[in-house]
Amino acid sequence: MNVNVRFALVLAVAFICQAAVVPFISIGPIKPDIILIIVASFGFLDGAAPGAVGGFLGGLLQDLLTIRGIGLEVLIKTIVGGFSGRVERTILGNSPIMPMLAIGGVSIVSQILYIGLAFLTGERMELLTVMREVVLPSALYTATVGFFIFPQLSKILSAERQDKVFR
Amino acid sequence: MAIIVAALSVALVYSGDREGVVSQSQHLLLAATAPLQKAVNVVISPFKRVSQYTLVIGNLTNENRRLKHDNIVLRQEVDHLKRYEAENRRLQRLAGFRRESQPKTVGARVISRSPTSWQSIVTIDVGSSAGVGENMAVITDKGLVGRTVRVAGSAALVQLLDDRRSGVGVEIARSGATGIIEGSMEGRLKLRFLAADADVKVGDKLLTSGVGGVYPRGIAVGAVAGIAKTAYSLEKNIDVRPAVDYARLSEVLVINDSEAARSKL
Repeated sequence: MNVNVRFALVLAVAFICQAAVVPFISIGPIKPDIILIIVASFGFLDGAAPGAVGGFLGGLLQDLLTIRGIGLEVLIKTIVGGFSGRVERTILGNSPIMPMLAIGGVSIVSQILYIGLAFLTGERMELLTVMREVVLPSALYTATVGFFIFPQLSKILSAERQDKVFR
Repeated sequence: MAIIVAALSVALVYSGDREGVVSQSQHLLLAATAPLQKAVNVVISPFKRVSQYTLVIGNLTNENRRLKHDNIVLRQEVDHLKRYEAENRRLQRLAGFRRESQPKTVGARVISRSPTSWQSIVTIDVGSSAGVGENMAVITDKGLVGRTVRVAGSAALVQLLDDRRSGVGVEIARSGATGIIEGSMEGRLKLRFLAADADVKVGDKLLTSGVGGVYPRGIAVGAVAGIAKTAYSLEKNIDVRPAVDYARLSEVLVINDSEAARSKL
């Protein structure tokens, strides 16, 4: 099966999980960002351009779940997907911990982007409180969920990569 | 390619499509995801209930004693209020005022919560088929919950008061001073735009002022939890403790009689 089709299927499943399952596994206001995990993993495994396109689609789906206008998550996930593609795959290695740390880092970057864009649209906040109570716990939760998801995704997309070599 | 996609993303941010394809897609998606959320809620609810029972069982004796005491106090209050109501009705008739009717409401169950950390919303299991529309106030027996922001046939999204884009006009029950309660990114309620010389104390009850037309007047919103004066601001920093525990919402009422809301202004 083509890698793009696989990615689309994985993204659809992630979207359903984000909409229907994540609200029930939240810890207070803290929720894991499943779509971010998929987008970042796609970027890590396939590079900047596919990561950015995956981020665009993932962000579009995520924006449809929100009550504000469309575009904010599209922009953030596109940047995050492209940024993740810049992370050399060799850095991640075979260790299960490195992808988890990378997803945690990407989660922090995406949330800081969100706060920055919200600030530009006139929203005021207590930055230290937001970092302590929302950004860092969310990143930790997302990284923990990513620890379990990334190896499975890696297997799914690696099979396709070997197909490409033989072609 | 990445640059083209990024440029497209920026264009979308500024497109501001509120009524077109995007808005329709969001309504369709709400209609499609609501049954899924309902199904997950049905599966998870029994487990949640068991864990909650385990947690509260130790406190039942104390709670029972407290409730008996509250019952006695409340009975006395009801007697007082009945006398006041009769007196009020008499005086209103004398003054020629039209008596306010109770607003019509629709009962609903919360079937899901926000899928992301950055917004505070819940999904309820009633929609346009039950007479629910956008911008209708949602309440519980304890006070104001929020307002409906997107409505499908059998589900609706409710923006909670602690959402960072939420705001409601309130008045302090004791002094009558008015202000606006806003949500925040941290999920806390803040009382803002209060006059510098306004009479406000910790513990003051806050009620909806009715200004704006979405929320009827007189619904409990919360109480003042803390007041701080910052060195570089003319405004007092006032924290509000909400009347409703948004994390434990299960059943709510939607006020679907906007005429009643307007008549209270």
